[in-house]
Amino acid sequence: MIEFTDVSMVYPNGTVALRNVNLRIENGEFVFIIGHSGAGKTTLTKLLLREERISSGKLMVNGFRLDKIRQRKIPYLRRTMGVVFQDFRLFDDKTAYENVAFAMRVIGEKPALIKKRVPFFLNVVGLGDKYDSFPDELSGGEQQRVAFARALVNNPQIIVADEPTGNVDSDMTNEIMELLIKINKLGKTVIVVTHDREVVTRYNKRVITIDDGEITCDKIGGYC
Amino acid sequence: MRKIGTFFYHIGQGFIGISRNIVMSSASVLVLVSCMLIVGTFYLVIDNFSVNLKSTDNINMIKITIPDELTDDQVTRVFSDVLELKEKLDNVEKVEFFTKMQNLQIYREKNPKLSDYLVIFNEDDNPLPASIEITFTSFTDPDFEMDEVYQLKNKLEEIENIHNEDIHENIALYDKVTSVTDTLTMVALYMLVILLLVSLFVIMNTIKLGMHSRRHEIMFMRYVGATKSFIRTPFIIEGIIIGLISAAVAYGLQFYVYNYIIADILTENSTINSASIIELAPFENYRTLLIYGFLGIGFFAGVVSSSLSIKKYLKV
Repeated sequence: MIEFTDVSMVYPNGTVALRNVNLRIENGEFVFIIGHSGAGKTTLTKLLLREERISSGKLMVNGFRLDKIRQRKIPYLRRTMGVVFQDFRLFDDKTAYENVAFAMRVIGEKPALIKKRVPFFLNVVGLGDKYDSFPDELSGGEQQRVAFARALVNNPQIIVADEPTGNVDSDMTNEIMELLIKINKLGKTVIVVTHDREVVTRYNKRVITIDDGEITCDKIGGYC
Repeated sequence: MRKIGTFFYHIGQGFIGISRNIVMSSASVLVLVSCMLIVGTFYLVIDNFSVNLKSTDNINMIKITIPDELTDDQVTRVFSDVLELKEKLDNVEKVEFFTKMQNLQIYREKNPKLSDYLVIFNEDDNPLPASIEITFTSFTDPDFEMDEVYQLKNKLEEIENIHNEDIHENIALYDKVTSVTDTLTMVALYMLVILLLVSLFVIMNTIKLGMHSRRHEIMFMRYVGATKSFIRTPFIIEGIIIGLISAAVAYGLQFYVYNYIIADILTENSTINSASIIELAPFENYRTLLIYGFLGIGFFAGVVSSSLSIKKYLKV
């Protein structure tokens, strides 16, 4: 569960990124966050990951109070979230399997568990036959799927997808959105940060609009 | 089990880091090896000189040769004067008198190869004089007052029937060599500090480059929830591996330098120097000290430089 209570965020240079944001996202929800460039979408996701600290207010994410969280607890907060980036950020020198396994390896998971979970999640995203392929041997959509498998493999409660359809064609956009809906059906909270109007309009999900650091609209289905 | 797996994972990552950045890693090893080798060589040379010096005959004593023309009464007087001086000094262990025959006997024992020639000498035509030997205590202690020796020497010269040329001592030699070795020790220490600082700087930059080449991995690790220590440890391990490799290389080279270069310059087996300067102690005598010393320097340099690099450049 995510809860913003009167959250404001001001960068050291004085830029106000968020103003008195009040927002609650329940477990298992599917949410689009939309807004033009510089509206505050990126800041919002950075706050969720505790990359930035709020200036005022209260922020709870998966039971962690982020305005008071200790530095050493931050990794454990981040383990409850999976992030998919617009540019995938796969490691070119690692196979699809190794890319996904790396996410488990770096939080100290046992090799036996890695061997069990990685193939499972590669199958979930439909890449059961591409274990040994390197990123440059995969299409853009397949690379995005590897990124999703990597985000899912540590069993996070929340998946944050930053512009997941930004770099792919319309067919692949549909595939990715279907995959996100499938992930949501697994019980995960899915937050999609986008400015793809067509996608937002097509899927009848909760849409939160941010403009100039404020939530200007929060409704189910389509743009305000 | 998980911790053991993670430990080996970090070691593996340390080696991967080195192999990714092999040129700078090699440069780091080279500088650190130079540091260890120079310090090791200085130490070995200085220690060999010290050991040889301390084992030199009569180094810790003043010897007074008694002129043959003195009568028994005069000799007795000289001896009692010396004993009287001894009572006023703290650092004199003993005062002994050796007759002409005793000295001949001692000379024969010390030079068995000459025994065939020495057999012709007897009490009547013994060329060696009688002597008085004043032996000092704690001569090699740093606290030993060298001035006391010189004062004693001056007072001995004042004894009736004893002349300047009758008083023999190697203490001045010891003093000079000790002062040279002390200077060399200081030079070695300064070089250790300077080279160690250079090594730290080079290793720091090697680790920094490693961090740069792995910046995407580091950022991803942060997002996934890797702990600070998990992200940092491979770089510490990388520094330690560089230090330990340097120690191993330096030890091998030190063995060669000692047995083939120092030995060639300083000993009687020298091929370039016919004069025997010192008798070199076997390398085995220094093995343990060099292993621990080099490993210590390598470990210290690796841990400190990688820690500094992490503190300065790695934001997690």
